[in-house]
Amino acid sequence: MTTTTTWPGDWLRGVLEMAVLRVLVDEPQSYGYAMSLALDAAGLGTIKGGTLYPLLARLEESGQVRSRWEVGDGGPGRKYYEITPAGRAQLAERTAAWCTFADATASFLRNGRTGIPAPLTTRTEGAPAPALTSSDPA
Amino acid sequence: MLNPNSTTLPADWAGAFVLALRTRDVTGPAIGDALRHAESFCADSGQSPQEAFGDPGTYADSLTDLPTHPKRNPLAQLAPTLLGLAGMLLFLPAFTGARFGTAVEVPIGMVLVFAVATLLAIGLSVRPSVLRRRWMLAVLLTVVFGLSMAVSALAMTPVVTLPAHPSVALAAVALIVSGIWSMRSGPGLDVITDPLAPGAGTPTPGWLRLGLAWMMPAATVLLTLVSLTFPAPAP
Repeated sequence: MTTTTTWPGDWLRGVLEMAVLRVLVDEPQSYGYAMSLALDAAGLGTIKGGTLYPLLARLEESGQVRSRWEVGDGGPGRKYYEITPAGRAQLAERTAAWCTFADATASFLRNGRTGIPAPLTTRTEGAPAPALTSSDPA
Repeated sequence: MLNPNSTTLPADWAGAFVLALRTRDVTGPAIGDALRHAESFCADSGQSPQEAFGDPGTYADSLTDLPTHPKRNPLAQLAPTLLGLAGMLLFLPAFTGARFGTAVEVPIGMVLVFAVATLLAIGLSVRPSVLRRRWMLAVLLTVVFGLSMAVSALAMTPVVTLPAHPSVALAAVALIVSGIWSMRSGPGLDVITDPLAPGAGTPTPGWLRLGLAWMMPAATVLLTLVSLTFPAPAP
């Protein structure tokens, strides 16, 4: 599945490094464009080469991924990336932290500081509550 | 060695990208890697580099994690070259003077040309981003060298008169010192290596390093040999 969603750049900056590492857990040997497609399929939207390569260079510099070039068959070569044990450890640590943060943020945005669900939309008498609050405990 | 024009990227985009990375002092192997990566991504996605990576200068500036050369004092970096240039400018008239038994008159124009070349070289090494705007560089070089040539042709007034034989010796020492200095201090020509080619990332070959370091002394010898064919000046 590919999406045409464009998320705000600020949001992506926080999560893209982890998402790329996650792609490399699922696809142990992957290259730039394949990673871009995988991220799109995961719902993160279209990630341009100009966003991806600086990030991969940063991950490589910090030892979280390693790479090797392979000569292309009738076309340009490809640089294949692989996650390192340090990258896996970093991914596990940051994923746990991110999930805690995302849960706390989602809960706050849905319920506010008091924990009482806020009316997100104007609704008429007797209409069902907004879907966002449906899973919250009463 | 990787020639940016030998990739499948459009030459103007690749050229501007390489120039922007060079002005940021990114190493040759890292430039080759970034260039091949852009080529690979564009071939796979079917996008143009402008679509996939945007403006080459802005994209080059975003690659802040690429390895760069350590910062060096621009004056210390240029000193061997400037010493060689001074030696070359002095050697030719000094040799002619020694040959025909006349003193060496150093015209003010020559001193001004040397001063302008020095200032230009220092200015470009401090602000290499000027090189990114080709029109600005072209205008700058045209104006500076046009003025220099005009001054050197018109300003023949001797600023100093030197004895010929000591001047030959002094100029020869300056040339030899500049060659040895370049060999010892210069990082060599940082070629853009192809990550797909065997032996990628190898340092500058010894013969190339030798040739670059001794380019000005060699040019001086060549010009001196040419000057031997000139007849003696009229008394």
